Amino acid sequence: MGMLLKGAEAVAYLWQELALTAEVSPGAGTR
Amino acid sequence: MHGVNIGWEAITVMDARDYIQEQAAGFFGDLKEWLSIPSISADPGHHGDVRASADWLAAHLRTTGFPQVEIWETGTADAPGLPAVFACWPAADPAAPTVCVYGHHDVQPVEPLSEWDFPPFEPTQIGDALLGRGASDDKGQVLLHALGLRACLAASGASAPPVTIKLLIEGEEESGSPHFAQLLAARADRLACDVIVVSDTTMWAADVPSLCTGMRGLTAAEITLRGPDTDLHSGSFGGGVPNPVHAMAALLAGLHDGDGRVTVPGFYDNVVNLTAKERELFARLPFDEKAWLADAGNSQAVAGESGYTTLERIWARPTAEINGMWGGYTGPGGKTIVPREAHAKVSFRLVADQDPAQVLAGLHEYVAAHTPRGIEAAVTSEGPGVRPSSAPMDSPAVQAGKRAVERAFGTEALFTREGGQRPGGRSRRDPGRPTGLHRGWPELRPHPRAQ
Repeated sequence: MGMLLKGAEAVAYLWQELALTAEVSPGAGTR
Repeated sequence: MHGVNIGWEAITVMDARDYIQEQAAGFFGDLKEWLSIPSISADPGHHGDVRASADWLAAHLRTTGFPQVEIWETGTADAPGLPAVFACWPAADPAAPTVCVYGHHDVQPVEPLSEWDFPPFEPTQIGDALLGRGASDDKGQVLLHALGLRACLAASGASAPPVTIKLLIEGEEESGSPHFAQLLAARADRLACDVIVVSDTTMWAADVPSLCTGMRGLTAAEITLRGPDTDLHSGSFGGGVPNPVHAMAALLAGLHDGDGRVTVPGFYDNVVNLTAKERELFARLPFDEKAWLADAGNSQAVAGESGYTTLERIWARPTAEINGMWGGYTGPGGKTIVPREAHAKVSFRLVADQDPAQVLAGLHEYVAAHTPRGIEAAVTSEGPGVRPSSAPMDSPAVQAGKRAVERAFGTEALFTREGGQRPGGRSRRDPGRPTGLHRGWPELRPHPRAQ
């Protein structure tokens, strides 16, 4: 159960990290 | 059926970890409720439950705050499939990237019930593990996205996520995803994204957080070799005509060379080889070969392509497997015949950037070249196969995922792959491809049937 909570936390950070990653953006060639 | 135990209303700026701890009891209450729905897609008697599971999830995601939540039917009016759930929460910034999360809400059958220590749809907590059918495959992983998103919002005080988030939660994964490719094609415009997160893989271990960056694809075929019109008496004809079973044995034996490499023409042409960095990171995973062999049906030795470790062989190298072979007389006693035909089923696990159709074309060529004069060969296959998927470890999205996992777990995240496949796998070199990122969690299952 603790792992699921860690997973939720990782998800929260993932959205933050992706938003801060300039290379991952529409039109940057990954879509 | 649906009750929501988490109070989403109070959005205040707080640490994501604190927020999650605060909401944990409600989260597990919701998960237990969902796990109690026996959404077994392989059993027609439970198809109503799969629909109930989709309804439950849709209601939960609406309550979470997703402004777009839809139940997507699959199949046709004459032959309906089981529903997927789609949800989208656009980012406040229209220039932000779009992420699509894949998961599934159906579960595997539970038979034999005698092997369960508790009713599979009455979620049971043992120590820190929440056990019940679907807990780690895949309802737990799906539901944590709702909690994680709310934690992300709580940490920023924002009312919309920093990236556009789409969820596609399938209802037929455990029964072969018969309508998934069709669904992806039909809804391609709604599913457009920059990054795909597959939330249906396993993590290496509870104390070794990891990200899965690839899955092998699959194609399969049946080979038939035909000789005389009828079985012949070997005393009269043996040694004078080609024997289809002999021919099949030679053909199959030649599928691998002395180094364990597959001899099908062009088989390795599009294989993306492991980088030195990938091999180094795989080697750092704590791998117990003895335990792995025990798990592999008590196999007595490892085997495979020369020059690769076991993990590399099962994750990142393509294979040819003989699944079955038959022909001639196999009944009690003896029957001295030259059999009229021989059969074999073969399958190939594929890695990026192999194409199932090209591999099958190579198999046709191989069989034609290895069929002796006087024997007729036929190669048949069903369906298009499954393309392999892979995301480079050094891609920006995978590196973002690595940082996120490391922040949550407080230790270095390593990389894995998986030897199987998920529906709709795409090669990383497909035109217009999104970047794949597989996130997984260890299987919380002391009992093999408890997941």
